[in-house]
Amino acid sequence: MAAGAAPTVEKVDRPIGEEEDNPDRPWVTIVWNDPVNLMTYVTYVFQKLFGYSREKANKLMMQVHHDGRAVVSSGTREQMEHDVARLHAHGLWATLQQD
Amino acid sequence: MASIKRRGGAIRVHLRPEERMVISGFAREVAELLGGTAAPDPDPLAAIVGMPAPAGEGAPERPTDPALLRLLPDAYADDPGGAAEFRRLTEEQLRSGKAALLVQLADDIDSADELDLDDEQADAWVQALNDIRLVLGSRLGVDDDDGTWRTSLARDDERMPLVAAYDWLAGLQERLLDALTRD
Repeated sequence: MAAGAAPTVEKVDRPIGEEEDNPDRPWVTIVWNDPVNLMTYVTYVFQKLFGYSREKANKLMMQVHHDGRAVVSSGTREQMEHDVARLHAHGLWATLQQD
Repeated sequence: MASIKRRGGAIRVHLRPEERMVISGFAREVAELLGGTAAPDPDPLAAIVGMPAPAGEGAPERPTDPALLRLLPDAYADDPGGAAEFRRLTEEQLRSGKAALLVQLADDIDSADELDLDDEQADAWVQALNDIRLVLGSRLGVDDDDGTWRTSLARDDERMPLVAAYDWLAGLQERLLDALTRD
């Protein structure tokens, strides 16, 4: 790297156990593809539940459709459980996990 | 042919008698599957769609019926303990909320052949219709996005009438969503 640049932070591999117990790692909500749900419905639910613009909701929906899943929100575990519950109430298949 | 049109601030829905019967019948069957209080339908086709919820007390168990599991899915993909705890805390509310929307849909449908829905009602209908389609999709083995599942059904499969309902309800849901989201 060029002289005068700030030193880089060396990435240290942490033991897996420590990673899993770290409460500071954010949680994410994942929506999984389901062939029954209409694409327009999935987009509608993303707009309704998360206040996303139609463009962003549509983009997330296409990600679910093409990749089989998409991260739709992130935050604390409690927040993600709330999001998952709301998504289930709307018939979308969602799970939460640590990022 | 069902008609769904914006009429000022409302969405006017006009349904034919046979269409009303289909929606109302399925809505009540799925409500029953969720442990609602509607009387079971003696129609054998309806019996395929809905199965009586097991009576019992204690913590809700992970459903063994795949259609019910799809309505009440696991919240954790790789953590059965976490999923069970989440189910224990949330399933009752999820069940009763869904059943209420389904019964409301059926009651609305049974009340008149032409209805003016506000956005809140249309949103409730869309959710209830979606749950009906999820159950039908499960019963039909809809497991792919390209329609291959359709070829797996023999012409004399007793579930064939469900395919027409599954497709028709998709069209209804689509048109309701269009009316709801139109600027």
